[in-house]
Amino acid sequence: MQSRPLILDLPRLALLSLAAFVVLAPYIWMVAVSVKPQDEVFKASLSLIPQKWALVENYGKVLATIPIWTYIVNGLIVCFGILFFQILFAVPAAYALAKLNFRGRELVFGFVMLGLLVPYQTTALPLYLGIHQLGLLNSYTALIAPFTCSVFAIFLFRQFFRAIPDDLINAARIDGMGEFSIVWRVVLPNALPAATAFAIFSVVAHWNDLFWPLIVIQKGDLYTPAMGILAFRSVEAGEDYGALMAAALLVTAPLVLAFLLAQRRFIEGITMTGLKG
Amino acid sequence: MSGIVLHDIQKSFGATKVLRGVSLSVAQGEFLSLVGPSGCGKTTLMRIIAGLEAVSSGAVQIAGRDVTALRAADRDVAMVFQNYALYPHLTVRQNIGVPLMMRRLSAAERIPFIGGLLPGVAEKQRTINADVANAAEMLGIGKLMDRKPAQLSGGQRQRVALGRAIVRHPMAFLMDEPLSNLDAALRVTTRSEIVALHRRVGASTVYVTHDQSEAMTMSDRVAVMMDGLILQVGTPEDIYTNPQDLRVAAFIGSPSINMLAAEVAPDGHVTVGPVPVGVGASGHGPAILAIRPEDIAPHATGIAARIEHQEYLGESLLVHARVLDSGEQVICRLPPEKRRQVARGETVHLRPDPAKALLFDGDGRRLGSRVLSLEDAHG
Repeated sequence: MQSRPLILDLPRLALLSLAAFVVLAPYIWMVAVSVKPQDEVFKASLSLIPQKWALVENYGKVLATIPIWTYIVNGLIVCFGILFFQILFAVPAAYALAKLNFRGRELVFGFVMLGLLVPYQTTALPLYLGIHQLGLLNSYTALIAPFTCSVFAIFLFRQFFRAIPDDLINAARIDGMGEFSIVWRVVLPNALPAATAFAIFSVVAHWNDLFWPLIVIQKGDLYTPAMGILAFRSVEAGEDYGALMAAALLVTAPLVLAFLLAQRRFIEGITMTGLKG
Repeated sequence: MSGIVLHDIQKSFGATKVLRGVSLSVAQGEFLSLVGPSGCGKTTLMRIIAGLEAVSSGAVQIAGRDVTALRAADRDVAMVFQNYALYPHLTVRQNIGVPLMMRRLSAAERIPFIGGLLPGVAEKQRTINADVANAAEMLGIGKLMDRKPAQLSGGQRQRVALGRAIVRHPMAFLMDEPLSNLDAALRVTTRSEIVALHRRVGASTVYVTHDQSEAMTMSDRVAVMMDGLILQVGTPEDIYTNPQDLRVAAFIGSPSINMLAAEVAPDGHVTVGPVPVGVGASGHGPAILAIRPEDIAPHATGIAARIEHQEYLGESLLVHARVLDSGEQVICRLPPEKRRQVARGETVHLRPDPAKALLFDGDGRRLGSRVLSLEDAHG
């Protein structure tokens, strides 16, 4: 590609930077507050750099007050547990809906679409009662199980799988693969962009979820990160904003890091679909 | 032992009958082409042989074994697809190795990372790699082994697809228009390479094409399909010179065969318009006289026609003429030096070679005919 003189790109860059700043401002402010001492937080002046650094105090207070690492580990177990089962169940289902011919396929897909319309809060009460009766409250199972069948994942993958050529699947059949081998060895590897996109949706949603964990978890050692912040807030009576922001930063850091690392892979995944095999 | 045997295969998609009772047998090691216009059912028939499509009725046998109810994976056939259908996420080496991996390694041994630690897997993997390398060498793609399909040209992808098919020495080979995505020059060279490969591998091969020149040049036998039926199976020469159905005669040959409305007189003499053509037939009534362009030429006497157009092809000359009585179009293939002897607008008398003339009844079925001397016809 021909490189254009920078001057022509400047207006566009300026506009994009402004938009990026608007989006990032709260986060940047959070980072700034997390290193400020209590008295500087409420100052009228808008300064990002604190006059007196309170990094050690704020973060130290978080680490001393709540077991934040336990919460983060809980969050990882729950998010990846959910993602694992969602992929395990949704990918074969989506493959069947996209590529296999069977009686009632359209009906089943109709139910999937119907499922998309139901907000998960509506099913929370019956799910809670069910889990309570099974005696599974306060367990990883209670956090993971309700989300393992994602109709959104089935829908997303089904749309993506329809674009995979039938002959590729036929070739796999002739090469000796059964339907499950086809799903995991041919279809999923060729749907990595969809899988990546879905993984982002899923992990973000469940990492930040507060609603369901609050319902099924009472014991502190099973708290998820979002619950951890809440716990910290109530312990601290919501006064110490510096420490609170430090806690929030620690909780969001794994996500931010994961995205920075996966960014390239994600873009590669998307460009790969432009090529034909 | 027979390679592939099809018994009265019928196939319907909903109310549409795609195959209406197809029986065919392909001998061990034979190269048979299925040729026909698009929509004649040839690809469906191939997919039925492969096990990708279920029959509505009928039976498929491969190497003496009834495979009608078996899935594709258990039929021991290999197939080359029109668009090659390579796995985009695997390298050339892995693509060719897939059929071996699926057959020689157990499910546990195929699990990524862990499978490789099981006893004996390393050894099996070595033999797979050696076989893959052999196949690649045979096709001249040894240098491309670590590339992905997206980094290959059309011709290279086609070779990889062939490699994936030959690597496991299947009982039967199925090819679905494998050359149609190549450019014209590559198509001709690949044609002979596929034939040479077939001789080396020696498996029964069914080759689907709509291109009659591929079918004629590559095959031991050709099966001409139309409207869900096989009209005729025979050697390329047989199909060309001795078609049993007018549709076969019309489909094979370029330019296509000339068809003239004819009449069988009660005494068995065949006439085109008023002109006797030196052919005798049994029965009487209207008929169609079909004659290849190279078997009809201007003569002192014959069917009067006006020359409309000439095409000089270098090795031959095609003369387009219109029969004066009926307005039917006739194409003659003449030696190129005749170019100066025929001129546009001129009226000539065309005489079909009675020994090569083919006679069909009104339904397109071939009629028996014999050569008469023209003197007999006049008598």
